[in-house]
Amino acid sequence: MTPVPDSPPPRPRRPLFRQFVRQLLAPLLLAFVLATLGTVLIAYQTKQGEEIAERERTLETFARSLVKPLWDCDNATASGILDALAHQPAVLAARLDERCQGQHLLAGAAWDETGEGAGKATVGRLPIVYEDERGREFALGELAVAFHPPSIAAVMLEVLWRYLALFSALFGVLLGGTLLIFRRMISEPLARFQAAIRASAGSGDLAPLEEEMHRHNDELGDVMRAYDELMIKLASVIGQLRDNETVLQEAARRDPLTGLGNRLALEEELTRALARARRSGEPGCVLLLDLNRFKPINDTWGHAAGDNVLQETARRLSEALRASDTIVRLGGDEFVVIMENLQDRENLPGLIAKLGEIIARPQPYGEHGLTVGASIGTACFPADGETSAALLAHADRAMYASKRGR
Amino acid sequence: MPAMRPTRLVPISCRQGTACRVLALLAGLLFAGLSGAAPRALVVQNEPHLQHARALVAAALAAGGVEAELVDAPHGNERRNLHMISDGHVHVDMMPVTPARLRLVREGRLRMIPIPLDRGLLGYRINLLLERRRDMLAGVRSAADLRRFNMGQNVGWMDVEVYRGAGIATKEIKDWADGEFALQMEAGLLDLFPLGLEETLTHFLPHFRKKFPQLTIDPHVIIRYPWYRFVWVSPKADADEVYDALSRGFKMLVDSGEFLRIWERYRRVPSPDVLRGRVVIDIDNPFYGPELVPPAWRWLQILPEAP
Repeated sequence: MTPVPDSPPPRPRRPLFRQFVRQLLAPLLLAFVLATLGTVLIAYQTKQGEEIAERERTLETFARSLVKPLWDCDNATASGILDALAHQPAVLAARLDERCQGQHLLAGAAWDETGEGAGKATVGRLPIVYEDERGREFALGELAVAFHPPSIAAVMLEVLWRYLALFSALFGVLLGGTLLIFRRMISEPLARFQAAIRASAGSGDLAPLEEEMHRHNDELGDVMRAYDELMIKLASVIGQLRDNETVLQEAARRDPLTGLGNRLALEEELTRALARARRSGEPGCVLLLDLNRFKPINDTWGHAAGDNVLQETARRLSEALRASDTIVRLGGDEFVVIMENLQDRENLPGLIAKLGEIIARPQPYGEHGLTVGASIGTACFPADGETSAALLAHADRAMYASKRGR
Repeated sequence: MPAMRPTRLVPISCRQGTACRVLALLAGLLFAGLSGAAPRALVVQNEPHLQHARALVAAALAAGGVEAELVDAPHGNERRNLHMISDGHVHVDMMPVTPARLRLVREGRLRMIPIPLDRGLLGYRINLLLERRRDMLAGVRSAADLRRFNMGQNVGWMDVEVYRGAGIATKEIKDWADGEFALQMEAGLLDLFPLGLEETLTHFLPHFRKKFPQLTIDPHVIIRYPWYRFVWVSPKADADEVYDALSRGFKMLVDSGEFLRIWERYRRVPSPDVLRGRVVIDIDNPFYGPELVPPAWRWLQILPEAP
């Protein structure tokens, strides 16, 4: 015996809302990260430009402030200015080559011997020129300033935090807004549709569903209309299936050769007849007919001739009996008749004889005449039994008794 | 201070003595003719209180045979002036003798023509002070008495060392040319600001009072030390001709008497009244003495005496 495999565990429910968030999150995050990085990069370049401009301004400002002291050959004041310059946050060291006394004034960090500044510092140089009242220019010296190399990390951090906070807020607002919109436009209408479908399914009233479809003249409405059409088609298919089932059930209860009921129909009809008889107290009988000499016809003339005999026998039985009587072909050459409301059972032998005579009449088959006889056993209810099995067994015995007495 | 326009000068003839005039004229014409060139531009110091000195330099150049167009040198303090002339940016200036200048002369980085342009009056120093403290020196009789006061001088002036050598506290200030020291006097940082007697009376006092009318001159004391304004010439080769012309020209001007005539056109010999009531306090110049002026030109010095 093959073991029945366990059914797979139910897949965890994945609400649309959660799927939407999960799928939206990655691209949205990527977009915001790119936007943040791009903005930070632009801000860094701007900041760098500003820093360069600021350094140029610092250089120019201090060079300007040195003009008068250098013109006065006042190196004490020039040194003070140079010290002040060296204390500027961006300045690493400053060097002043003045011509009046031919001195090199230094301030700040050590200036390397090449005069190119200290380490990797950016060095800015500016000649200091005095212009007198007549517009003549006199070179007084040169100011060289070694600036700290611009710190990318510091600048990046400075702008990164600012834009990170801004973009995080934007991201939060955008995500929250998107989720609210999704909830309002997708989740809630879907929930309403679901409720409407369930209500319609429960009560059969399609009004809530139609109301929802009417409210949504959009893709969701289209889906619901498609669903509605599908349901209509399904209902039609189901109706057709039901009809087919009825036909099949009918076919299952009918003998296709004679058009009479079959063994299944006999069981049902006899059960119902017994129930009716119990309710009404009216007696009834069951006749079991078995054709005599039928097998030789089948063997001699073929099955077509046999079938012809069975059909003709069924037709003759139907004509001879009441419309309220039930005739079924039990199988082979056996027929059963259910007769209800038999007040006078005295007529039963005459009826049986009549049926025997009718069946025994020759039946034309081509240019020939075929003749069969019938052995008939009876069982009346409730006297001979109150179940179909008991009645049929009784009738069967009676039929064989009749066949032996023939 | 507005700059002066360049002045084109022509040789000036002697006004006393026909022979001298003819000689000077001929010499000028001779040198001008020999040079055969357009007037050369010479950068020469020019300040309002030096008009006499500039006129004397121009006359000496002409007498010495150089036709020149004088271009004003840029204005600066003594250190700047010294740098400009020793570096050849200025050809001629007329500044007081300082140890720094003497050192440069010794080193061959500056040339000196020891003509006493102020005729020795520069060594007579009169104090500028606030009007409301006009009589603060009333009891002063000696250099020792002056030690109670704070003097002011411009940064780099040799006078600073002269006063300090005499034990007088002296502060160096940067701006003075328009009388700005009056503000420091008001603030109590300075008491006195001594300047040359003649130039103060002639030029500085009226000039300073335009902006600082609270300034006046002290009526009680004159300070005196050897202190001369000479002519200085750039050591560069392009000034060789100028130096030679000025050496020749000043000799000619002095000999001809033209020097005094020109001087008197711009300056006056102080009235004996200036010394009346004023105590003259002599202090030493630690750097040089009267012998710095060559004997031939010493007679040019004025020695005012109290009446």
